[in-house]
Amino acid sequence: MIHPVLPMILVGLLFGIGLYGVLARRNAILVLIGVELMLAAAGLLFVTVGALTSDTLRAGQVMTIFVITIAAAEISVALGVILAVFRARGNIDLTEAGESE
Amino acid sequence: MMLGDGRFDSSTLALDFALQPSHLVVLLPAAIPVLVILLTRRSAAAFVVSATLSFLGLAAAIALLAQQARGGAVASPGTIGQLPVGPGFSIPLHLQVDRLSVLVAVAVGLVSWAVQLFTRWYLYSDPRYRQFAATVGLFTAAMQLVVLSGDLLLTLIGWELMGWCSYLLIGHESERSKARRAAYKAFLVTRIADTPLVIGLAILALGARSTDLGVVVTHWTHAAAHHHTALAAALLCLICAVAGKSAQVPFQDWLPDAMEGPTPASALIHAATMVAAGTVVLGKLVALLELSDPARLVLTIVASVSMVGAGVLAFLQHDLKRLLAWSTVSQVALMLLGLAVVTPRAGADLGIAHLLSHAMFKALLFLMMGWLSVLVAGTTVERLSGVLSKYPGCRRMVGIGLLALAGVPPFAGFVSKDLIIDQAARGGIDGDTSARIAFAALACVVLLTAAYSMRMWLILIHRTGAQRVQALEVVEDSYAVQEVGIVDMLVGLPPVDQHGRPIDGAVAQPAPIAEVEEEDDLLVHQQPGGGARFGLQLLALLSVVGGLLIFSPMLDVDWKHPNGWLIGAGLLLMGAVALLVRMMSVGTVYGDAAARVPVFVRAAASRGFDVDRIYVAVVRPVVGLAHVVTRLEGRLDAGVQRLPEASAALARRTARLHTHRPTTGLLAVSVGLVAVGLMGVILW
Amino acid sequence: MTTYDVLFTIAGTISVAAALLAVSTKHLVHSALWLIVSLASLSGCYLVLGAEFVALVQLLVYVGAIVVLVLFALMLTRAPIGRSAEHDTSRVQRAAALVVGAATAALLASVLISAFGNDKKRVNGGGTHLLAARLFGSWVWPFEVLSALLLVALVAALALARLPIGPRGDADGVPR
Repeated sequence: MIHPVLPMILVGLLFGIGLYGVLARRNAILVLIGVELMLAAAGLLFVTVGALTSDTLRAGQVMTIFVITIAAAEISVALGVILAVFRARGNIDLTEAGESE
Repeated sequence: MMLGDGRFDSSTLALDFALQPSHLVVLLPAAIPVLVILLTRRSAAAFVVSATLSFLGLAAAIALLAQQARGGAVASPGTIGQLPVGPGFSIPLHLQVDRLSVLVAVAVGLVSWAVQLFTRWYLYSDPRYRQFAATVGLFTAAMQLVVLSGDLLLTLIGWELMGWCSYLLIGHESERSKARRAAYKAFLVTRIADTPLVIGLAILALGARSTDLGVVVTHWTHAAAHHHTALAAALLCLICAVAGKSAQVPFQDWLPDAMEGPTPASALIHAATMVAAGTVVLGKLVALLELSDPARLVLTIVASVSMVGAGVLAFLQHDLKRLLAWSTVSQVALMLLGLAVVTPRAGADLGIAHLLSHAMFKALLFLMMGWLSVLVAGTTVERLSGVLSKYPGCRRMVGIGLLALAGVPPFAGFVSKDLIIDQAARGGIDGDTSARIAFAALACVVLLTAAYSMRMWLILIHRTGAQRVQALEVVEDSYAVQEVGIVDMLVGLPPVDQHGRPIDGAVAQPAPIAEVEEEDDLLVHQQPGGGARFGLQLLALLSVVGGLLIFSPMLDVDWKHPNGWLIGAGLLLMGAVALLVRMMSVGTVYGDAAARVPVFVRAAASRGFDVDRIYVAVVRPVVGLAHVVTRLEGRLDAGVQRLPEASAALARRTARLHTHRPTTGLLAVSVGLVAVGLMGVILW
Repeated sequence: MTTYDVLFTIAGTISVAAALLAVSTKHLVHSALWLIVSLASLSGCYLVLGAEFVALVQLLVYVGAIVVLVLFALMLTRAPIGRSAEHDTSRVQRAAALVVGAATAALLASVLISAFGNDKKRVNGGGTHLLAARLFGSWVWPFEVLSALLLVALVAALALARLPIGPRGDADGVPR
């Protein structure tokens, strides 16, 4: 038996922290870390809802696994992009991303 | 071949074949523009095509007449089949062949053929003869479609097509600004008047849930008791359109201006086709007209005012071609009165009878006017004065036309006009208001017609003082026969007729023989070709004997009880008026009786009592509104053109605010999303 | 407070604290390491919720693969070792980000709580056996599509790594 309040608060907090990380960081990799936190919040929400309701298809857990997989794919591509940017510009500072060279 | 397999019944002339003569009547003239424009490059070839096809069209109409007379005509031949508009409404698009429409079709075909023959001579050196002939063909096809249509939609198509063709014909000499203005005027005025036609036809068709003419008439005949107002409204709309097309008050002024077109076009438009189309359409719906007293009354008043007003104007015109135009207005009003005074039993026969006779003598008069105007290079009184004295060859046919116009027995005009007067008198005695108004107007117009016909005749045969002196000299010369010797006289003197007048005006003065020959050549050229003259003679013959048509079973009119007193009184009055006009003309320079009328009245009449200015006054606010709209539109346009610049400036200004940092934008987007989410939660 | 509540609170607190440190630390590498802590304790939360397979996958994929990948990327982009103020945006923007993050957290939490209520609920974890049956039964097609996605991501990452780009003047000798 568990109170649903706790997972829900955790979801909100993780997502808010992730959003802060995305908005407050200049380094592209740190921004990615914020994104990972937001994805983790989403996965936790899936699992929570799946655990607290009669989830015969196990959709909550399956979706979380999918989200983790997609996150893996996303981060590999994103890191590839970041490396390419680094090779092209010499830094990965997002505040300078829009400046013309 | 056809006799063999029983597709042709020789006793009734019925033809069991998809293509009926009624189709050919419409299709053959319609083929003229196609063939002329596509195939021919030279005027001569175009003439061959158009003359042949219009003759074949006439032949088809006559064949149709024969079929109808023998009872073998198909009453409602289909065309392209019913339009698929779903259940609840039917648009059969079929033709309708009845005795009246067949008669009118023959008249239209005849006039069109005569006009085609005459045009070749009249526009011999016109580089745009081909276009003219093609337009005449299309015009004829449109009129035949209106005449033979059994479907309101087909009627509308033919009607609009005629409006467009009249624009082309009137504006044929488009290099002259007056012709252009006349064409625009005719088009716009009839167009404005056509708007109610669409509304009226829509009311009729929607009420009957069909555009089939027969269904419409049947439905509204039964529904007239319950839906009297709707029927009256629909008929009033139709009458408005008819007034526009037939140049009745208040749309009358386009028709005299349409005289700017070539004379064959005038003959076609004014004799048998466009102005008569109103009579034809109303004639098809006359059964409904009988049921609606308001519509009849309005039609009577409109026609009466037009008839009398146009008669007065005709008498005062300075230009004899415009005189004929105003007389057309007057005569068409007469036809419409023939429809307005019908008794519940009778059909449209009275109006159609006058339409037929009018088509004959008015086409004759217009074509003769074209001939004469070529001879003297003008149509004003000064030009035409005495032309028949100079060219007596034309005298017979002009005389026949004018006598028929004036309504002198036994010419066609007399018969049809007298029948209408009889009917109006009978209706008036029975206490019908419309008939009483009509009778009063008719009494005036009979006299007016006699007056302007007489005036025109006197002008045309007028002989100037110089001519009289010449004639006198010729007569005096003839006394010198003994002295000169008869052989010398025959050789050396100009030819004279039995009255001693010079023939054909060839020798206005004694001239060497060589010159006489030259002028003879000129005269040959100044005479229409044999075909055209044959057409004119045919029209003249029909103007004389056309009255006999009422005895045929094709027209259902009551000719057995003529009112002898009425006819006698009318003829006496006409004679008196003619004498009066003769007396007025004596001593005037051009034999013009109207010269006794004060100049300013004549000038005003020549301008149609300045109705044109009223039109312009009506148009001016509209034009003003258009100017306002144009100006607004210009502002708007400038604003729109400045819009890219303004938005570019705005973009530059906002670009200065932009940090070029993705995170800033991301922050803004997040703030917005959170705000939206908060609003959603709070407002839930 | 049930046992579940207690365990979840402990794991969740660690996770949140580590996440906060991950987004606020001045050390680049520390940030990645705190992420490991946060995600690992999150897998503890999964365990509490009865999703042991998800917890395992979380540990394996996130902690084992992704964070290592991030660390590699940090090395490859010559991240500075030690404290640096270069990683954060301006103070104003950080304040705004803080407000937005807090607002989002509050919004999400309040919405979710109001949606699920606060009644104690039985944790319906199920077993890995049933999860496997569902994953390779009902969800097999999305699963296969995901494998294709992974393949595409692999190829894309490879293509990006071999992309012929470089600073102006082709300094690092990458063939055009």
